[in-house]
Amino acid sequence: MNNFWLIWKKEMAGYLLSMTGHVIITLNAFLLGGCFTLLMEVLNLEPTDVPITEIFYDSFFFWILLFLGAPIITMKAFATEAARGTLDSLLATPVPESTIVLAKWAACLSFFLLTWLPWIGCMAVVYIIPVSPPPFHWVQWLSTAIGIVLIGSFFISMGCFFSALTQNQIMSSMATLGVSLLLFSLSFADRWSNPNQSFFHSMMAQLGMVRHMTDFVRGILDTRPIVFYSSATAVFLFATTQVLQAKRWKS
Amino acid sequence: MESGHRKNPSNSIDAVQVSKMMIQVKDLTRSFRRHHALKGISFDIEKGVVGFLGPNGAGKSTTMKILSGCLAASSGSVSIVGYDVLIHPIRTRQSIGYMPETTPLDEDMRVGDYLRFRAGIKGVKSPRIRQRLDLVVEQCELQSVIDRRIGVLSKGFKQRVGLADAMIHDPPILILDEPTSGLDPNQIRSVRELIRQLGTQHTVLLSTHILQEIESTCDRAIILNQGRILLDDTIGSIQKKLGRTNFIRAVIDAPLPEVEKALLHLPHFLNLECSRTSDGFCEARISLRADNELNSVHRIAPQIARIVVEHHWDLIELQPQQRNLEDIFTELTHNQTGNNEAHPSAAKSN
Ligand SMILES: Nc1ncnc2c1ncn2[C@@H]1O[C@H](COP(=O)(O)OP(=O)(O)OP(=O)(O)O)[C@@H](O)[C@H]1O
Ligand SMILES: [Mg+2]
Repeated sequence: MNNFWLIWKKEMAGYLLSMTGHVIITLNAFLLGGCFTLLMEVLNLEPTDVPITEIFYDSFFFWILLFLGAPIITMKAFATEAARGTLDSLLATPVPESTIVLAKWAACLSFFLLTWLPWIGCMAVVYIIPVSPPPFHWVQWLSTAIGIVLIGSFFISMGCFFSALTQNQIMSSMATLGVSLLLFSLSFADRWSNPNQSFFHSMMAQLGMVRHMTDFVRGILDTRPIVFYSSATAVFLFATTQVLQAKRWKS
Repeated sequence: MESGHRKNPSNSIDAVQVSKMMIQVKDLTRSFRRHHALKGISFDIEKGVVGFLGPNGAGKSTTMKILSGCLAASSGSVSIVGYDVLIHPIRTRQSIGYMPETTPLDEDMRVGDYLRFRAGIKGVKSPRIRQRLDLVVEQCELQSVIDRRIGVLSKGFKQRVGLADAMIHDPPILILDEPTSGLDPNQIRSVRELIRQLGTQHTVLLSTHILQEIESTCDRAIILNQGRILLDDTIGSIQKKLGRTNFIRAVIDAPLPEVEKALLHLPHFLNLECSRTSDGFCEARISLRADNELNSVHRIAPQIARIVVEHHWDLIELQPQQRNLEDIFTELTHNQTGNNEAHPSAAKSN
C-alpha cells in the first residue's frame, strides 16, 4: 500500500509539474468553457425543463473532452518511461507489477478527474447567475459524475494497456483514441443493424456509450453500464500487468 | 565426533554451499529471436568483488539484467541468496541493487527526491530513509547536487546518482554495469575505492572494459566472450599464472628479416613477433614459457644481447615484461573469435 501511494504521488507530481500536464489542463478548461458558453446560450433563449446536466452533455465538446484526455495522459505512464529506460529500473524494484499498474492507473485517473474540476464550477454558476434557474436535482449531478468517472477509468485503463504495449508515444495515444472512437461509434450501430436480428441488434444497443451517458445525465443509474465499465477496466488493468510481465521475456 | 571424520560428506557440503551462495547461475541461456546472446553460462558467487570482463556484445549486460530480474532467461536457473528469481521475484529483487549500463533516471526529479522515492519503493522504512540518504549521498559525493534536477546534471553525476540508487536500500548484492564509465580520473579512483570498501561486506558484481580496474578492485574475474565463459578464476591465481609467462621486448637497430632469422635460434621461446617501430628500428617481442629455470627471462635476455653484439647491431632497448591481464584477454578472446564454431566446448579453459 505504501508503494502504491509513493508511485501515485510521484506520477501525480510528474503530471502537475510537467508541460504536458499544464497543456492538458488548459485544453480541458478551454473545452469546458466551450460547453459552458453553449449552455448559457441555450438557457438565455427560454426557460427549460431539460436537466442542466443533459444540456451540457448535448454539446459535442463533452465527448471531445472524454476522448482526448485518456490518450494524452496515459501515453506517459508506460510508453515514455519504456523509451527512456526508467520503466526497467522500476521493474527491477521489489514492487509487484500489479501495484505499479494500479498506482499508475490511479494517478492517470486522478489527473484526468482533476482536469474535469471546472465542470463543477460551471454547473454552480448556472444556478447562481440566471434569473430563472433550471430545476436542480443532485441525483443528476451525481450520476453524471459517476458516468464520467466510469467512462474515464475505462478509457484510461485501455490507455495504460496500449501504453505498456509500445515504446512509442504516438502509437500509444493513437491506438487508445482509435479504439475509444470505435467503441463510441458502436452507439450508432443499432441504426444500421437489422432490427430483425434481435440478438445482435440488442447487443449493439446495450454497448452504446451515448445511450449510457444519456442515462447518466438524466439521473438514471442502470447497473448494466456500471458493471460493464468496471469490469472492462479490470480486464484492461489485468492485461496491462500481463504485458509488463511479458516484457521481461520479450525485449 | 564421528561425523567430523566422515569420509563422504558431499551432501551436507552441498547444502551448506547452497545457503551461503549469494549468486548461483546454472546453464543460463538467453536468445533474442535467433541471436544467442548467452550460450549456457554457470558460475557461483559467494562474497567479494567479482569482475565481468568481455568485448562488446559478449553478454555481460544481458547476464546482469537477468540477475537483477529485468529480463527473463531463455533457459537455465538463477538463484539469489538461495531463492530462485522466477519463484521469488520480489524477495530476490529486494536483495539486489542494480545499476544499469545506461543509468536511466527520472530527469524531472531532484536528486534528493528521486533517491528518497527509490528508497521508499525498495522497502526502506521511512525513519531510516534519512539516514540511508545521508550515507549514500556522502559515499557517492552528491552533496553539491542534491537539490538539482537530474536532467541538468553532467553524465558523471548521473552515473553517481545511479550508483547511489543501487546502494540506497543497503542490499547484500550490488550489480553494477560499467560503474566507472564516464567518470573523471579522480572519480574513477574514488568509486573504485568505494567498491572495494563495499566489497568487504557486500557481494559486488561489476562489469568493465578496463582491465586495470579488474586487477585493482576485484577478487575474481569472469571473462565472457560471445555468450560463453572463457576464464573464471581469482585474480591471485590469474596473476600467479601470468607471473610464469613472460615477455621480453627488444628494440634493435637492424634490418627486420635478419633479426627475425637470428632470434629464431633462441632456445625455448613460445612466440616471436617482429615489427618496425616508428623510428625505423626493429622491435621484437619474445614470449617465453618460464616453466623452468632454463628459459627464464634471466637466461634469455643475455642471449639476446649476445646475438646483437655478434651481428654488430645496436641494441636500443632490452626490457623484460610481465604479461598482464590485457594480454590474456586478447589471447583468449582472439582465439575464441577465430575458432568459435570449431571448438564450441572451449567454454571453460581451466
Ligand atoms: N533487446 C535486445 N534485442 C536483441 N538483441 C539483443 C538485445 N539485448 C542484447 N542483445 C544482443 O545480445 C548480445 C549481448 O549484448 P550485451 O548487451 O549483453 O553485451 P555486453 O557484453 O554488455 O556489451 P558491451 O560491452 O557493449 O556493453 C549482443 O550481441 C546484443 O546485440
Ligand atoms: Mg554492456
